[in-house]
Amino acid sequence: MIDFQNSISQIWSDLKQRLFPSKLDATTPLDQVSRFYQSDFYRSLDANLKSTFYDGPLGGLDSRIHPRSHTDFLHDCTKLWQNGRNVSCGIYGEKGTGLSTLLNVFIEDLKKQSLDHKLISLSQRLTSESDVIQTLCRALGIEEHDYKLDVFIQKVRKKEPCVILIDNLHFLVQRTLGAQAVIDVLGSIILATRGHHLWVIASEEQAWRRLCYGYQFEHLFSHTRYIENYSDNEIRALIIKRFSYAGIQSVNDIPIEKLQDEKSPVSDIAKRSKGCIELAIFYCLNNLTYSLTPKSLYITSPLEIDTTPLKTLSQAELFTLSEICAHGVLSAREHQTIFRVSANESKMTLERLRVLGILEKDESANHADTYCLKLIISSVVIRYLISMNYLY
Amino acid sequence: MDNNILQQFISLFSFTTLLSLVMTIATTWLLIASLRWSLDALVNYKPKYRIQLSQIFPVVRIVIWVGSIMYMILGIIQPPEPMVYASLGSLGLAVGLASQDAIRNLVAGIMMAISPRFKVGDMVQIGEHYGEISSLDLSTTKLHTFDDNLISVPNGDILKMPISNANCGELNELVPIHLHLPVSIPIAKLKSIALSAAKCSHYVYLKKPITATVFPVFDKNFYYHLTVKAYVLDVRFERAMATDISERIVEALHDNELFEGSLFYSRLGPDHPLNIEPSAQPKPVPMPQE
Repeated sequence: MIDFQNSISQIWSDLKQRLFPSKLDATTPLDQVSRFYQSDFYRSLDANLKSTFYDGPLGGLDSRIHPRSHTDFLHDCTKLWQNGRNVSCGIYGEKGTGLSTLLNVFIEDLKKQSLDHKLISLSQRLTSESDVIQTLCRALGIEEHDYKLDVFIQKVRKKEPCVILIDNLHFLVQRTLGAQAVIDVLGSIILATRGHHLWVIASEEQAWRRLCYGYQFEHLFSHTRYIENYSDNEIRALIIKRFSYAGIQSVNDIPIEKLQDEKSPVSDIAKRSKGCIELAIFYCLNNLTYSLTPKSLYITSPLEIDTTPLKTLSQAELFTLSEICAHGVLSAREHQTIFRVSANESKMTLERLRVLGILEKDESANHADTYCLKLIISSVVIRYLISMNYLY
Repeated sequence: MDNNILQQFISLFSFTTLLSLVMTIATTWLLIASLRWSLDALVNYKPKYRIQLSQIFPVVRIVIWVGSIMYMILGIIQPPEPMVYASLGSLGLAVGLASQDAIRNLVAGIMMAISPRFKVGDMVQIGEHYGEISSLDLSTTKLHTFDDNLISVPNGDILKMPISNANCGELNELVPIHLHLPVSIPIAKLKSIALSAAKCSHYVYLKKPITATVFPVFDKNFYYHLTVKAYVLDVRFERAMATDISERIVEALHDNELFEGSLFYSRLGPDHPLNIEPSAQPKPVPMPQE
């Protein structure tokens, strides 16, 4: 006799599995993403291969991945400035687009042309007028002193003409009452010395938007350029370049020269990473299922990262994330000021987001409790916040 | 003659016809329910387009019901033409007399669907009620107030009333915030603090301009009437933003030691029982003698 009940439940469970496949089996949990770099497998890789999967720029190896048009844009601005035009330029793009790398490439080119330059890589928030002036004093080699703005502008004008590059402009964003004064000071200096010096400023897209919407920051620049995310082809080229650097000759038995083909596993990874190099590298590393045979790699189809924790976030957590996107990094103290909540409440909100795997502690920050968005999922988070109307 | 019409009318409804009618009604209902469910799911997936998506449903529902009724009459029942006219005339008269208000509301609902004065998700003031339009039914409009009450207003009444619509289909909305402050505060400083405080609020939609105006007002004493106008990110945060900005302004005034009074110098005047009088009230300015 046929057991109808069992048969129906079997059919139902098959159908359910097909329609709603278990997320746990098919995805990588968000909170496991960072831990991979601490895994025994990663530690067992040889040094060359390990550097292939390094989740930051590999200096000269990755430096020329940007389309030529971006560097051409900066060079065109330089030429206009050299011809006596009042030029200043701002470049902005998504987090992880390689703005710092682009500036470094530009600096290399400036060196070749024997043009003087000063790079200011901001590493902490500028909270007052004197903060801005002191930071610029240090970078431009002006004796540090409590200058009045007019006096300082004169000092900057007296310096030999040079290209002044400011990176990590997100440290200028702040939701405090003094923010306007800080931005006004930097703006006054840029406007007053524009033409004498060439100001090149690089900012993360959300910080740039915040500064433009709130303070008309774009008015300081004669030229602005949005740096697009990497295309699939660019990411594929970078991965192949890194594999070649590590001495790998084939991936899944496909010779490295043929990896540019549309159907190679690297193409699949490049497509899924949606312009984020870090995500592409993570996919490569996370899907190496077989041990490394000499000069050959085996990569399985990448597992998507499970971003469902984003859907469980409360209103306060979503607002926190949107502020982190604009501020670049956010300390618990800053969070407390922005949202006017207690220290414990701030700590709890930020820690919950860290435990979920959305945020990570910023090791380079001056304060121990400073958090930033995990780079691998930053574009997913930003897209989600925009669709939820918390970012614009 | 009348008996003939009645007999003809009854003969139209066979078991199959009745079954078809029931099935058509059920299918229509299911179609509308599934459309509602799909739109709700879509709204949850893309909250940014909440208002645009929500406004589709009332119109589509009317179209589906009208189509379904036409199909039932012309496709299933298929009555002879004289009977249609006779039935419509009698039915119209009977229903019209019996339910004037209901018909009026229904007609108003259809008119509002064709030429909408507001959409689902808009923040509107209807009479003394202010809130978000939560649904536009054929006969009533439902309004969700900030006190979490659901107000049903007959559509017939809405057509007669002036309506104030704060966001006109957009998610962001201009919110004026009024504060009454002592005249001892320098106006330039007050405006600067008000603008900065508004920019600090995470509820503010920075893409649109923020303004602050100050007017001296006399009501037994002189005081400043500060109005900050800022756009809120989402209409649902309207009150939260107003509170947040007010608190930030008051805190900033205290921090800058510009605000000697303990609380606002209320518009109600110093003698009003609800007014909380400032500890250091500004000196009244003498009025010119006539």
